[in-house]
Amino acid sequence: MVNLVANFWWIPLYPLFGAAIIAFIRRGASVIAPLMVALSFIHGLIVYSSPRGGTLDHTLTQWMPGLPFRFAADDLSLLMVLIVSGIGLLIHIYSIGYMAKEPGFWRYFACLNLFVFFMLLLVLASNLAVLFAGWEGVGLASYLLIGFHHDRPTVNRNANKAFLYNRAGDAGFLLGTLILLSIAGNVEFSTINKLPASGLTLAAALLLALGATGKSAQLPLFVWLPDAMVGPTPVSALIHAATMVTAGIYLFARLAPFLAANPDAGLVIAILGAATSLIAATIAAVEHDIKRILAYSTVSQLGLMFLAAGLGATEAAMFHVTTHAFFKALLFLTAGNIIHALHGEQDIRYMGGLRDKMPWTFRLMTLAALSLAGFPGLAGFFSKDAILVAALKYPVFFAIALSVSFLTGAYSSRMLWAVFFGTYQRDAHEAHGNMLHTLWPLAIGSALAGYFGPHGELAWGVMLTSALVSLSGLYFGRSLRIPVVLKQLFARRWFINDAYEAVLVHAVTRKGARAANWFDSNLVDLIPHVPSSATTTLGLLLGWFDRFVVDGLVRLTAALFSLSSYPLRLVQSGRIQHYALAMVLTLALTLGWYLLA
Amino acid sequence: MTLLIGLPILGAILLAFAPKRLAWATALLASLATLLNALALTFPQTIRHNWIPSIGAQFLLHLDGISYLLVILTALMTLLGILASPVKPKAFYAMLLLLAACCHGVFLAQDLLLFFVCFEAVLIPMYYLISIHGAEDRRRAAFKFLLYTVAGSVALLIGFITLYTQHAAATGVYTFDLASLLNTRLAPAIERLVFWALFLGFAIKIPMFPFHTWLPDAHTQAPTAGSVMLAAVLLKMGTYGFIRFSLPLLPRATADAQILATLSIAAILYGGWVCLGQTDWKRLIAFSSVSHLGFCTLGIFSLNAAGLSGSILQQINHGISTGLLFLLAGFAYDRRHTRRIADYGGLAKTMPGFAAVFMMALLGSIGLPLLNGFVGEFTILRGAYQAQPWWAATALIGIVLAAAYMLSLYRHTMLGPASNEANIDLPDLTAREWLIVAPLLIWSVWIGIKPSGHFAAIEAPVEAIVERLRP
Repeated sequence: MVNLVANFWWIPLYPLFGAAIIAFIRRGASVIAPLMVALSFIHGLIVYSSPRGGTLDHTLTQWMPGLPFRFAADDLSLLMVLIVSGIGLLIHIYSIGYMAKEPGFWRYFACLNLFVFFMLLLVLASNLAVLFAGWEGVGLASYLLIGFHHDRPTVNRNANKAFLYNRAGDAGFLLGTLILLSIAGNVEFSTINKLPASGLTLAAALLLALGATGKSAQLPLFVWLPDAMVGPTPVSALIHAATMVTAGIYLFARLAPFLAANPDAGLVIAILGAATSLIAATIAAVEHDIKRILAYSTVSQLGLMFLAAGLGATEAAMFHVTTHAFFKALLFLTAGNIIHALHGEQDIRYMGGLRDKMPWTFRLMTLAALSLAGFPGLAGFFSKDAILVAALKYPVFFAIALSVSFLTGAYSSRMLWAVFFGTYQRDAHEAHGNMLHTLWPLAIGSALAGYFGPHGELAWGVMLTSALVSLSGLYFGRSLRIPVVLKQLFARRWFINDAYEAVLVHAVTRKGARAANWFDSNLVDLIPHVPSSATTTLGLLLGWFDRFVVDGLVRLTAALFSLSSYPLRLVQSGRIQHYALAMVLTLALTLGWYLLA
Repeated sequence: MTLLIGLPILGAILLAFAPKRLAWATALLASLATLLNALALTFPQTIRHNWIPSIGAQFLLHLDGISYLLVILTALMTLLGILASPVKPKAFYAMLLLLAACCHGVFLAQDLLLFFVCFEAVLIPMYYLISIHGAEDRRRAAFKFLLYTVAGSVALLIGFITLYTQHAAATGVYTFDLASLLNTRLAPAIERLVFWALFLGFAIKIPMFPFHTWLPDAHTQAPTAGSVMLAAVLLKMGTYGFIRFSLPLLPRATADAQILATLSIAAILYGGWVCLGQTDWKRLIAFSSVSHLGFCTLGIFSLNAAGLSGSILQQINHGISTGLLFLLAGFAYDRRHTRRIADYGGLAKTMPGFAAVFMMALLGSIGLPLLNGFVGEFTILRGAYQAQPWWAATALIGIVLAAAYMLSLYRHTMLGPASNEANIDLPDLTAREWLIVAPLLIWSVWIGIKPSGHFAAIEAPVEAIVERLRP
């Protein structure tokens, strides 16, 4: 009998094998993929419910010098394992129906399995380096799945965008890791959590937080998430709502003592979270695309979790991660049923009256939306309450959290009214089979998960306020009036995306790169060209010198000789008569000379 | 060990007598034999023969972990390059084999003159490969490549001869033996001068920013096997030269390393940025090499164990990933006869296997963890951070740029609708092409997950260099 508890590090490997097998045989994906995730879930459940005695760990191999490939499991990581593999399993099963008619069915499941592997690797890592492997890996899987329909140009553009914003955060993450590595000599979480605070640890904490803003779609890097909604809807549910985007909060929870030692970093995280939460909620209130409403809602809820984590209430943050995983996955999957039934329609202005056509989807989505809005008694109410309690000491944060709570109620009910009530516009049919049955566990979680949270003493005042605010948000949401100027601001998404596009895409990538290319082929290339042209010119000059000066001297000498020989040449005429005459004359003269002398 | 040089030369000679239809097979056999021989070698080992006794030049080869990895890379790339070029004239294969022999000489020689001869001899077959078998503008590119690098070599030779005469002046012994020259103590001014002379020779060969402009031209015009050898092997001769000669021989001149590290960072960022503006598939990969080699030189000039070992590993990684990327560009060229990125698009639909391999190569190249590039880059960044934190911080922007230009290349060639008619019926990777990419993919994953064997191989020589750099 193998010891499943000691071999907890097998948990991520099942879906990895699943992905590999599916990629090779390209069939049977609908059996293999869910089965592998089920194995992870069962294994995770066994480890979670067994007596463990502290943190489990296992070193697989020495990865890089001083950086072992090590896994660790404690309550926090095992909770994440259960969320990831549990909701992952439901979404795998749901996808069998949702993706049934898609070409590339096997590719979808291979990528989905790959995602679960990387996500489980992330939560079972024992140090920052291994966590980073999962961290970038989920980014890759997310990129591949956002870009699943890769024959559509916008899809590819948005997939790239998601990867690059994540990578920008990851660069910060790596620098933070490098700093901690140089201070502590390793990056085991147990070591980092004991580091004494200094300027450098603060910098490292802020850089890790930058990484988290990328992965968890917060200011300043949140703009990729709404655009990631071009991916298949089950992907949005699993990766972009329930699991991957909560990795940042998981990181904060993992490093809670470290953040507590560097409270300034926590404050920055809380400010970023609060600001993102409010901005995203206002945008959700004016969006028309059902998936983008849910995406901005996710950004907003993640902001609340950041706020809590930044203020040191990591338990509250993780509580909200858990309940959010249930109700947001349920919202996305019910939205998926609607989109499926309407043959791809996502604009809520073209929906309406679906209550009678899709009664179960209506009930389930309403339950999920109410849970999201914090309807008293449902899961979201309790976890949001925990965050409000954490923010109570800071009036500004508390006020923002309450406003977000109001807006959440408002956009939730706005969406519900637009989709299910009013006049019926289209033909639609209720989802069936997997696409309905897999929703029940999520519905149960959305309703009841709040009763299993970490309950401190009940703060009745906060609870009552929170309940009133959410209920009024839900009430006013149906006929929400927003001033035109603000509506413009929200609809243009506070111009944040436009600013990034103008600078990063237009200025740096297009114009800048073209300029750099010109600079390279015209100016940098002068380095070899100047000496080579100089050499060529010198060569020409030397050639001239050679022809006219050196060769000239030679020819001048020749000419002088030629000139001096002119009289002699006159004599050498080549005529025999002249020579005969010269002989006779010479003879006569010589004879005369002798005779006269 | 001499067989590493002998076998390819023997193969080239045999090719002259082989019948035309057996030329490819002969070349394959020769390169395979060389690779197997290389794999069977143990290190460290030395071979010493007299060469030109009158001036003290020796035929002196030494194999350590650094040389071993680079020799394996060379032998493997030669084999794959030949495997990727099935229908070529005999002289083409002969030149590839001679190129391999010269490169092995470069990575093994411990005699400065022998090193220099091999370093220069590499140019002859490479010039031939580009100027005869290259693309439309091959003559100019080959000529530029030849002249630019020869110019650098002159400075290198002057540097070597200065070392030689200085050593003779101090000891009365005329020798080019690296081990003996290590004991000469030069006057600081001369040491610095020699360092910069060597720098010119090596920096042009790598090429470091701003001496890189021969590279995009040569790469774009070279035939596939030529590009592969150029990227995977020839660019490493410069970095190897820095590690083997500049640092140990001239440890006190490394005070100037800051300038070179700055140039390296400029190469990382500038190379990546210029990549974003490219319209030619091979030219883009060429500029990406400038950026990646920037990481390699940054590691070297961090002057510590992490930087150096990361740099050596990254040289291998760059050989694997960029070699693979050039092979893939070559496969695409074989099918479509164009290098223009805009002529492609939507290949993932028609060539899913090709697209999957391209994705793996790309991810290895941009440094995704669990693949080769990450291990090298991260170790280099560790070294750079130890040396100077802001070096690591700025170099990190390079990994974002790398993702930007590589994903953009992937998007415009592999993804999107297949708008061009000519791209619809392209055949996917053939069995031969799978055979070519498989060893590189396996090596890439191996380094990504378990690089400890590689690190162990280079640990001792790296330690020795770091020891010499200690003040």
